[in-house]
Amino acid sequence: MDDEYDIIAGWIAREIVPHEAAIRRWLTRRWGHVVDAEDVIQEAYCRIAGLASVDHIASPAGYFHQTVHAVANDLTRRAGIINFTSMTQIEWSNVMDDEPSIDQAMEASQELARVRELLAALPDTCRSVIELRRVEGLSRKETAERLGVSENDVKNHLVRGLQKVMKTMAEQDAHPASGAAGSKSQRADAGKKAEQIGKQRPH
Amino acid sequence: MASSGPTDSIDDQAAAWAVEAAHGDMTPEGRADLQEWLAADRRHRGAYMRARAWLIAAEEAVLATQGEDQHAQPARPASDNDNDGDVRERAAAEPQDRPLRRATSQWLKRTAAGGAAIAASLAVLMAAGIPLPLFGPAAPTEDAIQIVQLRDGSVARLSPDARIQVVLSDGIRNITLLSGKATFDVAKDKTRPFVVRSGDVYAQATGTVYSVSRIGRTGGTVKVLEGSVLVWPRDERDQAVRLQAGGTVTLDPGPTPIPTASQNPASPAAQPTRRLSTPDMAQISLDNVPIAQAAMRFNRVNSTKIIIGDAAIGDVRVIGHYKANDPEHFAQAAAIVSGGYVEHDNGNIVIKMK
Repeated sequence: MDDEYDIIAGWIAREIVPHEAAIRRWLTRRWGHVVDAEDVIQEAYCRIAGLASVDHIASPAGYFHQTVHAVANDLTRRAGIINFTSMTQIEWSNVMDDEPSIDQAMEASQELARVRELLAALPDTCRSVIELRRVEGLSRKETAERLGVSENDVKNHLVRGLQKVMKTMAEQDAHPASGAAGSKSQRADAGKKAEQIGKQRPH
Repeated sequence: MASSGPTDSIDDQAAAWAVEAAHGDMTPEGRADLQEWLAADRRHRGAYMRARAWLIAAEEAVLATQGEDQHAQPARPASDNDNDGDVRERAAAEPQDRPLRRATSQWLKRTAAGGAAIAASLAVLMAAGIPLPLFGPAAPTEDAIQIVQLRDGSVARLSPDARIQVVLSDGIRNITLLSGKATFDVAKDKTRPFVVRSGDVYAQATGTVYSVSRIGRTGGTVKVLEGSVLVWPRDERDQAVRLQAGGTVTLDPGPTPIPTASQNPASPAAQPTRRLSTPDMAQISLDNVPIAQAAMRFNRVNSTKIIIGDAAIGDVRVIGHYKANDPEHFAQAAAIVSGGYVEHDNGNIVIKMK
């Protein structure tokens, strides 16, 4: 399972993650009044995690977009909410990637800006760890020695860095375009909200 | 926010697991814990996938700026903008003290090691099933990478002995690797495939990062760092193998057209696994092919037949590059991918459902 994850996670990192912001904005704008954006995004990732292969997906952004749409539909239906935004019945099985979707082609400059943004969110130590591990190819032990910390600290730096990146990105994404949609103030706090939801889940 | 303790949010827990899986030394107990955590809640699975993806994205962002730093250094030849179409001779190489290659090979090794443990991944199977001559001691070139920017915006990092020829035209970007090793950071352009040729081996991408090393007169090693690349020998593009990030393939078609059927059917060795050392490098490339169909291709050239014990297994699609004379290896790989297992019956290989 882990190695499937490696491949699909790599694919998501390159193809989906760059679009997460745009999708989250769209989701908040269009569905924010009935579903929680973070709920939907997490479920969409879960469905993609279940894919055996991603080779057939020619347009990942479009695919993600439609998955998110299908999830939002399902969630509202399950919650018994009559959904006036419901368009056609896009079932999971029909989610194909033939829609030349929204921001499918990202400009190189945009991409660069995104990378910068991501790096800005990354704490320096975490970045050093990644450099030592991935660029210089040091083992975790060597990395720890180089930084003068314990091996466990190396891991903790990575964990905290990753947590910070994910939160920062989710919060940033929720802010810019939420003005129009923001009938609920909590939406602006998507990151924090996701956290609360996590704790409330009974199972 | 980043409090520690059992009350962490799902995202926080997922981040911890993602790092543990990618950077830790997962014990069997750790893996079991992870599986248990993943099984406990659908949301865990989504969050875990997202965390792993973001971790990779962060790492690739760091790696990308490493490349940028290199651009910023005066390592670029003066005339990088207007001279494609010619053989590029290497200009004076700038010392390059970032051992990028080491990093990537470490990464690959990690992937391969992970594969030994669970091995459900096709790319991993590919990396593990094929010799990786790149990782030998032949890395004195590490310190003198030459960086060339092509007119389409792609960047090539050349080993000191590397020479490439570049022809950019409307429908296609053709690069020929004459010698050495080159890593390409391909500018995205879906309308113009980027094809690197090394001897008789071709590797095509539209926008990705991969390296090609020349092997002998006809061969090449293709290693994918990012994205995916199609690799094929000679005119067998229809049977190209798709390499994903982390994957490596070495092809050396040799002086004659691929001798696919040159196995010796007169040696029904009981242990086909040991026939690996046949000098003949005939390979079978599978790009998303149902196992049943793949097995037929193996059966055509081997006396040891692969029998599909369950139709559901036959339908599972596989990707990879396998030695044509090693059906056992393929069968094992196919069994892992399809969730089955391999049995031997009368000298035949049977893949059955668990």
